Amino acid sequence: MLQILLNSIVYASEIAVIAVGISLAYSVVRFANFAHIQYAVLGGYFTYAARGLGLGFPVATAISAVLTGLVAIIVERLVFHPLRGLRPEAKMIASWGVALAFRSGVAAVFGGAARVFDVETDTYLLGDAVITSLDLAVVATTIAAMVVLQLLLYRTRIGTGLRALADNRDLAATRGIPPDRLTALMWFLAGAFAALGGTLFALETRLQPDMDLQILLPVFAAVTIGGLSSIAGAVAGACILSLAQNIAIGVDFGAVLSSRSWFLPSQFRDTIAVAAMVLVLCFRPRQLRSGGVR
Amino acid sequence: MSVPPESRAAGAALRLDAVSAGYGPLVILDRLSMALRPDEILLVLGANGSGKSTLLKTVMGLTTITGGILHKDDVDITRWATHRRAAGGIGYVPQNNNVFAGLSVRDNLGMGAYLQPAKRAAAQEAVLDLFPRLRERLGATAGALSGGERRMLSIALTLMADPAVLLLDEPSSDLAPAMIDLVFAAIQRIRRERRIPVLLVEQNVARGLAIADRVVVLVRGSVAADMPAAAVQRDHLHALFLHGSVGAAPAIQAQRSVP
Ligand SMILES: Nc1ncnc2c1ncn2[C@@H]1O[C@H](COP(=O)(O)OP(=O)(O)OP(=O)(O)O)[C@@H](O)[C@H]1O
Ligand SMILES: [Mg+2]
Repeated sequence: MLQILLNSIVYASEIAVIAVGISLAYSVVRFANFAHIQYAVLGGYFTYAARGLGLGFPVATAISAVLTGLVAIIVERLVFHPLRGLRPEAKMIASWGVALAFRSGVAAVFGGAARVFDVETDTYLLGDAVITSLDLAVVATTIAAMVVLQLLLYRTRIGTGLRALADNRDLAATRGIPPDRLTALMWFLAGAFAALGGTLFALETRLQPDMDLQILLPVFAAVTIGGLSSIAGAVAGACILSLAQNIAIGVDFGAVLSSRSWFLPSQFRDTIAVAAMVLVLCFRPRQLRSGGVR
Repeated sequence: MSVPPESRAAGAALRLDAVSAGYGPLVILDRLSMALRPDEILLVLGANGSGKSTLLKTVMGLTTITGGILHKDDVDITRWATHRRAAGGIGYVPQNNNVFAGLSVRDNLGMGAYLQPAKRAAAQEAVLDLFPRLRERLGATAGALSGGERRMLSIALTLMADPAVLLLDEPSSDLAPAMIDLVFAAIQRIRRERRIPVLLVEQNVARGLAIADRVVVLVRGSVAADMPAAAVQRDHLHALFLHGSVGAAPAIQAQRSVP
C-alpha cells in the first residue's frame, strides 16, 4: 500500500507540473490549449538535446524550459493572437491543429525511436516499498516549481498583474496593465512548466514522439477535475487522478476477493482516468469549482 | 455637422470631435462632440441605452472607434490602446465589474498603482483616508465585499493611479441613501483636493445636479443638450431625456440619430 502511495505521488508530480500550465493559460485566454501536451514532449526532447551537448540536468532542463517558453510565445503570436476574437471552441480546435503540426515536427526532427535518459539512480527501501533517488528528485523539483509559481503569482507585481488579467481583462487594461505583454509572459510560463513536466515524465519513462498520448488524458482529466482555470485545482486534480490510477492498477483485487492474484490490466489506465474525472465532476466539492487563477 | 463651441475650447482635459463608436459593426455613438474642461464636474444624463456608458468606454478605448478624433490635453489619443490611455492619466470607474473580484482588497489597490509601484504606499494611505472602511477589509477578497464597500474599492482602486481625469459611471447605482451620501461626498472631496475634472454619468439626477458644474444630455448616442447645471429646470428633464430639448421643435437633433 505504501508503494502505491509513493507511486501516486511521483506520477502526480509529473502530471501536476504539466497541468498547471494548461490552467494558467486557460485562466487568461479562456480556452484549453491542446498543443500544451506537445510543449511537454518538445521540452523533453530539448532537455535530451541539451544533455547531448554535455550539460548537466539542471542546466539542460532550464534551457529546455526557456526554449519551450519561447516556442509557446511564438505560437501565440502566429496562431492564437490573430484568432483572439474567435470563440473558445475555435481556438481549441486551432490548438489541435498546432498540436498535430508539432507532433509530426518532433517525429521528423528527432526520429521515431524511443530514447532513454542516462540517469544513475540509487534505490531506497521504505519497509517493503521501493523509491529511487530519481523519484525523490522528481518530487522535490515539482514542489520547488510549485513554490516558485506561487511566489511569482502572489508575491510579485507582475504575477498579481497576471491574476488581475485573468480575473478581468478589460479592467486590468484600464489600470495600465499591458494585456498583450502579460499574456506573452503567461505563455512563456506555461511553456516552461510544460517542458519541465515533460522532462520529468520522460525521465521516469522514456522519450518518444508518441508519449503525448500517455500524457494527454491524465493531464486533461486533472485539469478538468480542478475546474480548468485553477492552479491549486490542477494540482489537486493530479493527486486525485494519480491515486485513482495507481490504486486501480496496483491493488491485487484477486487477493482481496479470493486467493488467486488478479490485477486490472494497465491498459485501463486511461479508462480509470476518465472514470475518476467523471466521478469527481459529478460529486465534486465546492472548492474544486472553477474560478480565477488560484 | 458643425462642432459646438465647447468642443473647440483650447486646453480641454478631454475633447471628442464627431466621434462615432460602438461594438464591432454596431455603432452607438453618432458623431458625438463634447469637451471636458479642466476642473469641472460634467454630468452626463440620458435615458437607458442612450450611450452614456459607451461614451466612457470610448474615452477609455474599450469600444471600436469608427470616426472622429479624441483628444486628451490636445494630444490625439484616438488610436491608443486602453492601457496606454490609463498610463496617460485617464482614470475610469466602470458601471459593472469594477473590481478584481478574485483578488484581495490589498491586491486590488496594488493593481490600481500598477504603473507607479514606488508611490503605492502613499497612494494607499490617501485612498484609505478617503474610505476608512476599506482599511479593515484589506485582507478580504473583493468579491466578498458588500455593494457599498465594493463601490468604495472601485473608486479607491482608480485613484491609486493618481489620474489626471476621472470617469465615473453611475457611482450611486444600487446603493442605500447613506452610502450614496458617502460616495458623493467623496467625489466632491476628490475634485477639491486633487483638482481633477470629473466626467460623471449618473441616473440620480438630483444628486448629480447637486455637485455638477455642467450637464450634457445624450439622446441616441449624440449630445442633444449642453448647459450649465444651474440652468437645468427639473420639470423639463423628461423632455430633455427624450428629445434633448424642451420646447416645440424637439426633433431636429434626435432625428438624425441612427435608428
Ligand atoms: N458590449 C456591448 N455589445 C453590444 N452592444 C452593447 C454593448 N454594451 C452596450 N451595448 C448597446 O449599446 C447601447 C448603449 O448602451 P450603454 O450601456 O452605453 O447605455 P447607457 O446609456 O449607459 O444605459 P444605462 O443607463 O442603462 O446604463 C445599448 O443599446 C446597448 O444595448
Ligand atoms: Mg450605463
